[in-house]
Amino acid sequence: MTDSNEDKQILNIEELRHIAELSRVAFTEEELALLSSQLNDILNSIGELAEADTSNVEATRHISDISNIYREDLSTESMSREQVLDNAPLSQEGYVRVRGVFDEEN
Amino acid sequence: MKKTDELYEMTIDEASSLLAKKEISSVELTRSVIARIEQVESKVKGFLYINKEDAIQSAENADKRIKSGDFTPMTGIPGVIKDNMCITGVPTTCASKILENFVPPYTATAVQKLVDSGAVLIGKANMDEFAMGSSTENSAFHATHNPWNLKRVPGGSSGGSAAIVSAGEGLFALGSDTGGSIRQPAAFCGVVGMKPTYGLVSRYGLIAFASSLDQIGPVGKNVMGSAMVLNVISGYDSMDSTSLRSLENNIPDYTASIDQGVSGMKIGVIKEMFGDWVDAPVKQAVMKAVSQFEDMGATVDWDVSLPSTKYAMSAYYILAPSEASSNLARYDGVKYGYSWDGEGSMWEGMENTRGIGFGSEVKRRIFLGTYALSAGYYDAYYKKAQEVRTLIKSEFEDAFKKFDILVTPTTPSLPFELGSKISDPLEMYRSDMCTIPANIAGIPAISLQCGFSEGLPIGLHLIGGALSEEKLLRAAYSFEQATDWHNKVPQI
Repeated sequence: MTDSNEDKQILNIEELRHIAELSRVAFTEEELALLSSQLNDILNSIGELAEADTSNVEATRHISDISNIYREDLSTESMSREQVLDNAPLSQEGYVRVRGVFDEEN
Repeated sequence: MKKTDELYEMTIDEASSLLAKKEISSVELTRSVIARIEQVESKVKGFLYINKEDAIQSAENADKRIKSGDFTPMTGIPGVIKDNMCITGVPTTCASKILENFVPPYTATAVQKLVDSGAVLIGKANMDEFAMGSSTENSAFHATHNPWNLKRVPGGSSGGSAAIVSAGEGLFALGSDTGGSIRQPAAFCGVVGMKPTYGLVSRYGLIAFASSLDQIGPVGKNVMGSAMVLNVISGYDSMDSTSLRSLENNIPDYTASIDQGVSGMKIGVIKEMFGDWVDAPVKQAVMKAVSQFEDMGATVDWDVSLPSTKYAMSAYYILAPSEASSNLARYDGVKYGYSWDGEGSMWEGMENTRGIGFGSEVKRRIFLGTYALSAGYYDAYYKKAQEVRTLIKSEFEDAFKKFDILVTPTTPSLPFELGSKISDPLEMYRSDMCTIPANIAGIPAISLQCGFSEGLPIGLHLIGGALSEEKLLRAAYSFEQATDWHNKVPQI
């Protein structure tokens, strides 16, 4: 665990703003400021991983040894359209309704 | 006759044998549990959803099954499901505003197996939002209180499940464990909690947090009861591609050899998990428990080193948020769940839905995971963490060539006060230091009670090799038989 006195800023506000945009999560400036300090604490602590010698170690891809799970390509009964749409916030004529994907000027 | 005054106080094995002998009915048992809920739930606040009418109806059906002779050891036993497991027609919120009004059109395999066994489901248990947290304070709806001291947290993320079982508001619960989310609250609430081997219990219908680490498991009042629940929920499921196919026709009865004792078992104490960050009363209680194993005929090595386990928490806080940032991308306000209804573009709709719908811990982890997976950082974070994962896994594999069971405390501290760690995420994360390594390695582990300090329970954590659940349960059962910690109940 890292001593907080040695903490350095790993992620600045501008990078965090970019991460928030990639995450598609709206944020306020207050949230961003608090997150910046918390995430830097966490990243400084996680930084200890650099000490671990992994020079000849393969990355784990999956924790159990199973691979390539196949099944017969058979059609089976699926949920009804009504069941699927029951949880959709907006639907119209049997379809999920979404906001316009393209801006008007495009 | 009855060992206890009130039916709700019984363990699953006690109730099951009285039900089979028709000395009690499931309706009587379920009514007793409901009366207990009415008595203490306003203080414990372990539930997000209760359906008394449906529970009584299921209990009546269970009594009919028992009368007809077509029943299982779980028929008529009332229990509770963590609110991240889907049940058709029953609200399933993950304790998140983003799923506040979600009613699933399908049922999780583990829950369906319980229903098929005749178990009576009373309701859904509170949790940290999307199972992210160690105190259940991250629930978007309300906090749950520790039955042993209502000012303390019940642990998390399955804090509702553990508090409910501890308070007698259910004979068992299902929880889910990604980094300790069954075992840590079980330790804090003085009950038994088990995380099975990755792939033993189907994750179909468990709302995903970190798919390579998540595993469903039982919370019970004692080891036997937990083994009885595990018997029902484990096994291969074609609906979960990570389910272990080797189990297809090969599921052991976990209760069959549970009373065979620990004579000749080799037990190792992981020294890295007894650092100065572990509180003295916890260390003392766990060390005393290890001595008891020695007294019962096990051989103990008090100084086993798994040096890479000290990196488990750091690896976890890269891997789990990375997987979460990907899994939680599905909450876009389009297909189900909360949807922001203001004026704006598709992207604004998505961003506001997620900005308003997710709580702060969930956002923190989404950002952390998005950062770790973003261009230029993948090798330094995600790949490095997966390499450390390999190291931890192989150290456990080597250790289990020499030992049957490895021992650590379940938690470094006693249950802490509500509000005391919520503003310091890193401090909160450290409550899972001892439990995370088992998730990283995909191996089973169990927490059971081994003492008290300041009137608060202390958890003993036993870890086994992959698919060694029988041995693990046998060791836990032997300890429980030799002690009476599990017979103590909180005064609420």
